[in-house]
Amino acid sequence: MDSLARALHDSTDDPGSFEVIFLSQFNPLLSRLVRQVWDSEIAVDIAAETLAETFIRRRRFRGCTDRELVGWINGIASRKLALFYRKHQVEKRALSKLGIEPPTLTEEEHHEVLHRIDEPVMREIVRDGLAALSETQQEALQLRIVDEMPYEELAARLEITEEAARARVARGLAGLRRQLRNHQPLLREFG
Amino acid sequence: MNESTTPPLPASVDAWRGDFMSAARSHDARTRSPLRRLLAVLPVVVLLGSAGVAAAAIDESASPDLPPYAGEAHGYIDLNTGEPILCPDGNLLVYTPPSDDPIYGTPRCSDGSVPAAYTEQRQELLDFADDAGFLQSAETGPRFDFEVDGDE
Repeated sequence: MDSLARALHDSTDDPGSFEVIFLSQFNPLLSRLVRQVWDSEIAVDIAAETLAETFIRRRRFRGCTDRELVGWINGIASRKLALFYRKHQVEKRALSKLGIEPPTLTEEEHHEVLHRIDEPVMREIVRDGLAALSETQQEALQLRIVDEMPYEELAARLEITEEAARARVARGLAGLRRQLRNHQPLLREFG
Repeated sequence: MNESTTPPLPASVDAWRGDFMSAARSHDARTRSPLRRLLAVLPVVVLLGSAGVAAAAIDESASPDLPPYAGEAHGYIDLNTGEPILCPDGNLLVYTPPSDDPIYGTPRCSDGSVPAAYTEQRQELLDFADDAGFLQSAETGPRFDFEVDGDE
């Protein structure tokens, strides 16, 4: 049995064994998610929720290879991501069961995470996708994704509540995702 | 950027790791209590007894967020509502893909019908798999199946 798969199985009796999974999987998850949602805070929240769900459901994992484990975790993440796009908010049910809030990044860390998607081709494609959105969504995404403005400041700028600002960004991201489906051939070319 | 060049874990997340593991250990201790383990079995009993009641049991006590395996009974989530997809008679739409056959068949209700939500989301998933490229791998597509079972 591979080492990570073993650690997850061991964590059934010894929860401390899960730390190996956390250390090996949080960062790759975060990098993958931020390229899919273009928002560091949302990516962190989904990554945290995914690992919380993985821990809570660890007894259900039947695999014995690390490849199976990573696929299983990605499956959980994809479900969380799909629900985010449909509901326009990150589900935090598993984190709630554990009784904790997701981590809060510093501004410097937010920038570092966002720069994981800092590729010129990607920026150009995202800019094209933004142009197809409504003006209010464009403005919200421009401020949040391009200018990397914190939600608190963004809400003040748009004269709306922080909660409304998050919802507007989330709806804009869902619209942007639909727009970028049209760019798949181009994206594949650069992949 | 591939994973071999992934930057180090943000310090805030690394610090949060302690909180996470502490919460995980507490959760584990709670779920090991004899009463809790007894209660955890109840949804399974209900599932076996009545699929209609099972839908409610899943909604209330078990998260439909698990990637299932072939050979297990699969239920399906309506991604628009977050609720399980039900048949016209109120029963949960379920299907057990054979573990020795790579072809994923179509789940049907007892009257032979296939709920529209399933058909639409299945098509979206197939479209996604066709288009999967630079941004997303096929395995991160909008899957909506979950295992119909429940502990925790």
